[in-house]
Amino acid sequence: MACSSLSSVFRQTQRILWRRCAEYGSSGSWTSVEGRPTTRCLCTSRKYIKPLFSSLLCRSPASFSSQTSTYSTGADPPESANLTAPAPMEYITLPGLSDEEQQRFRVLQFEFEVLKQSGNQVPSKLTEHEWRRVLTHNSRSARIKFYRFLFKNEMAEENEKKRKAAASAIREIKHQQLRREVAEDPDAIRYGLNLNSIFPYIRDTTMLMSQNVKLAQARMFGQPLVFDLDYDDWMSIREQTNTAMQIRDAHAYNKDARDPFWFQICNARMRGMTMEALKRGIPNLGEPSCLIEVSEKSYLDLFPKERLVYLSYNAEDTLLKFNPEDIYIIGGLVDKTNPKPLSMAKCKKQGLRRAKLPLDVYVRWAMGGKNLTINQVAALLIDVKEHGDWERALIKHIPKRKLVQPEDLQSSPGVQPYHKQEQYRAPYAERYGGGRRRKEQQQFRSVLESLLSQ
Amino acid sequence: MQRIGPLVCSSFVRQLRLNLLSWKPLGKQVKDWHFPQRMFVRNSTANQNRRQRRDIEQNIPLDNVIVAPTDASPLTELSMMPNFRRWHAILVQLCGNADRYVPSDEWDRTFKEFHDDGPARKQSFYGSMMTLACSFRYRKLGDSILDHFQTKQLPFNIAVASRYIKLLGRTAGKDSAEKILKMYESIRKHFPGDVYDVGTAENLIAGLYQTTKWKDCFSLLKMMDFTGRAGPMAVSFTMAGAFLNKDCEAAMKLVGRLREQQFSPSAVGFAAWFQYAKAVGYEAVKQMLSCIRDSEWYLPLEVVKDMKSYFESLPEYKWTGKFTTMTLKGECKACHEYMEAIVVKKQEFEELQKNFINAVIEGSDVFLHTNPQELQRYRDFVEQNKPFDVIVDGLNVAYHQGGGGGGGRDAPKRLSRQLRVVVEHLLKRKQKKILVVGRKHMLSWPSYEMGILRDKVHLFFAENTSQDDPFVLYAAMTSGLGCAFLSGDLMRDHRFKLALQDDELRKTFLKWQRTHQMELLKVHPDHTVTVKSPMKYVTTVQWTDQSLHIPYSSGLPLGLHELPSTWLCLTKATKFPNNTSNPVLLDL
Repeated sequence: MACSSLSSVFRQTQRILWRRCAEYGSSGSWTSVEGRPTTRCLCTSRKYIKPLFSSLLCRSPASFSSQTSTYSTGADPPESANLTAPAPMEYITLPGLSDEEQQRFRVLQFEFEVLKQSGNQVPSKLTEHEWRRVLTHNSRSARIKFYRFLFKNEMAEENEKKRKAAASAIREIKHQQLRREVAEDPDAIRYGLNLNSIFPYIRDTTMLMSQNVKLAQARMFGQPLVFDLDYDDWMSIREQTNTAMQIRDAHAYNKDARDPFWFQICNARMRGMTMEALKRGIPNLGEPSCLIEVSEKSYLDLFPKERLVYLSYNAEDTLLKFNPEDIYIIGGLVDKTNPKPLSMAKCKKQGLRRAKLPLDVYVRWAMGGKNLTINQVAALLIDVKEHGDWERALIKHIPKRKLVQPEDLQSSPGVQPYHKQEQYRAPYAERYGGGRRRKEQQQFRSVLESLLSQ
Repeated sequence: MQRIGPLVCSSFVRQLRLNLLSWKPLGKQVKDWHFPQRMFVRNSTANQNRRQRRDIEQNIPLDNVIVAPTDASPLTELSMMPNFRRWHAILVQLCGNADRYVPSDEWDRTFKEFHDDGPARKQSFYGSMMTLACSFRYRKLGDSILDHFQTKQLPFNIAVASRYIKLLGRTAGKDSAEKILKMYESIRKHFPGDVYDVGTAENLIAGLYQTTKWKDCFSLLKMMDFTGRAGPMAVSFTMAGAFLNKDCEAAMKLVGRLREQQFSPSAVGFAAWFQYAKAVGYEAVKQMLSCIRDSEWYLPLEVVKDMKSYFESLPEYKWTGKFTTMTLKGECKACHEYMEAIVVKKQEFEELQKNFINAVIEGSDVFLHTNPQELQRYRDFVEQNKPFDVIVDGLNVAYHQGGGGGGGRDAPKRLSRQLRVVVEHLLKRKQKKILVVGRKHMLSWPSYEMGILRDKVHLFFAENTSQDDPFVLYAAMTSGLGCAFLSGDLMRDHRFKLALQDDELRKTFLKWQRTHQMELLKVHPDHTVTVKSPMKYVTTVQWTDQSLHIPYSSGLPLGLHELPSTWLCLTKATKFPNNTSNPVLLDL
């Protein structure tokens, strides 16, 4: 029972504690008291924890952050021999808060504990940055949602770690197998990594050099692609961060392209949340080495108006032909919560040409809105610029769940491709092996299983 | 590793094949194909709650749960509970479908069974069981958890303690108040400084309002407002506490607060209020009813029943009460008296007209919904042709009932036919001058139908990218109070935009909308049409010198903006049977 209350201690400490509790839980002869425990539990029984912590204190300086020690605990440690006597709640203080805010912070910490005990999904610990985000939320439900979000992130991280551990175990097994084979027959010729190979291993820096050459080429002679970051006021913090991350992904794809665009970021608000997140995503942004232009000016000041085309999914015209002379603009807008035709209104006002992607012409939609993320649109344009085949590019970059898959068409004979005219018929059912990725996963799993069974 | 490996995958694929085999037709079926894993919004909390709610409704019998009539619904609560399925399975294993005192050993055993789950689950075990006990009103189960904590000397748990107080507040017993106070004291001892979060404070209020310490509810409310906003339940409980202890002034303050926040008191609040008013006398009951009329609240059925018996027991007037409904024109089916008509005052209406363009059509950016040239074109058009009798939201009417079913190649034909049929129906009702607002893509609809329309009514087509509802509303308003409009749209967003400017405008708009909006209910295959006409009468408490009419919510779920159709009709025995179409309303 004593163990039930330890969830707020960070995980590494916890595992050791669990083991120790199991070992010593029954003996009950704990007398040495040194150091101070820094748990934030409501129902902690100190009797078991204290001596354990004395040896671990150096590894957990503060209760919710493993790095910083700027926080000071408010309450004194309880001295009680009785098991049922409650340990009063220990509150943490953050620097730079007024008295009232400090009081509010205490209540929020209390709430966090209560939520944890009521079985809500909350993370095991919060960093200072996260606590400050919690303080900005003014309603309980908003805070619960935020905790839930953090909890999911934490679980995802944990699962990723597990997955990596399993993968490395498999790699280790394979490696051992290989070594055994080599030992059996050392004279045989084998190709591959760490074996005989005529190809040198290309490192990241070398890759980057070649990518930079292409980007520099694009900067001198290439076609610009504009990202319009004028929508910060319409987005929540989360959406702004998402926008930045999507632009980062678009940049990553652009670097790999054979013929990349020259990326332009216009209407940037240098102190806005989007730009801050973007700087986190692309650390050398703004430096000469980055090869992305960032400016606070509008695209109207930078380029001739007649060459500009705004891509907006509310537009009436369809972009049937990619024109290398045009300058395409992608709105830096993620509108999950409150979708409005903002980019549409903007280009109506500025009198720009506007176009939507030819989704209806080339693919058959299964579910979801016909809006795509920024990186998907950018990748589409990059591919179309390279080979000019809209259909191939669309099928590659639109998420699979959004499109009708070939197996749907095959299994139900009544279903015909949407258009009866040949030029609109989607022939990708034959061309694209549906469920390819799942097949790969299946193969991977069967390999895994066979290796483990050995 | 083996367990979660290919087995899951292959079963998934098999499931997929089975599903694929069973499909036949195209269209919608393909959309339904995707599995929950692929759901677009699977992370949304509201969505999850909705799914859980449906699950509970289908699988868990809530009829056995004995709920006091003035209490909150267990279904709503349970659907909000994290990990409900899991905890409920444990509950069923422990005590089946009935309340039971679970001995301490059994708690220990059950707890150990779930030992492997890890610390987070273990920590919330008792808290979650108490939440369930609270929602199902299992008093014995709650008591047994508390006794288990005492016998096994377990450390104090705030989630358990606060929920236990709530449970005690819900299940009336002899020693409830005493136990609540005892629990409250021990919580205060453990957490000095009276620092509580929103959830805990609400639970405490739900128990404390019945006891001698009801005044603490006020400080708890303050505490709630400190980190969030106290919900209507907490405020109603506090209000009930004040009424039960005859502190009318404090209670009326809370009533005012609820009205400001546009909430209605809960059933408990209303019950306590009426109990207080009954004790004070006839005048107080009148005052209560007038307050309810001004706030446009609806009493719950239990309170209304109580009220009926109260009025009937009054010796000097000899009231007789009946539960009835109204006709469309607002005639009471029991006493044949007409209800008060909704009147939009001229001054209010002019104010609304003045502000409408600015607040709704232009808004923050004219280009979002239209453009300046188009807006000017439309305004000129309306100025030239006004006043109209009816404005029809063309696309809304055409697409009503899916435009006569499905998509396909002849969809425009069916859509335009439906529009034409409805318009002809309106013309038959002697509504001469009709304006149909649509979008430009309707120009490609079959010329036969559109030609008929063109001959008979005025047509205006907005750009395909413009919003057409504001145009409909604008034309209806400019044509004056005699003009109605036909649309199924609730116009919530426009009302919200008005509320941003001034809350009075929103109220006026709502009143005007109720009295001027017609709704298409059904287009029958034989081309007859059923249209819901605008509302004629006010749904609030109404009082003449001979009768009293009280609308109440019967407990059946209402639509989003639906008003209750159930009334309590009280008439004095001395009343002569007459049909007064213009009742004299007394000021209470």
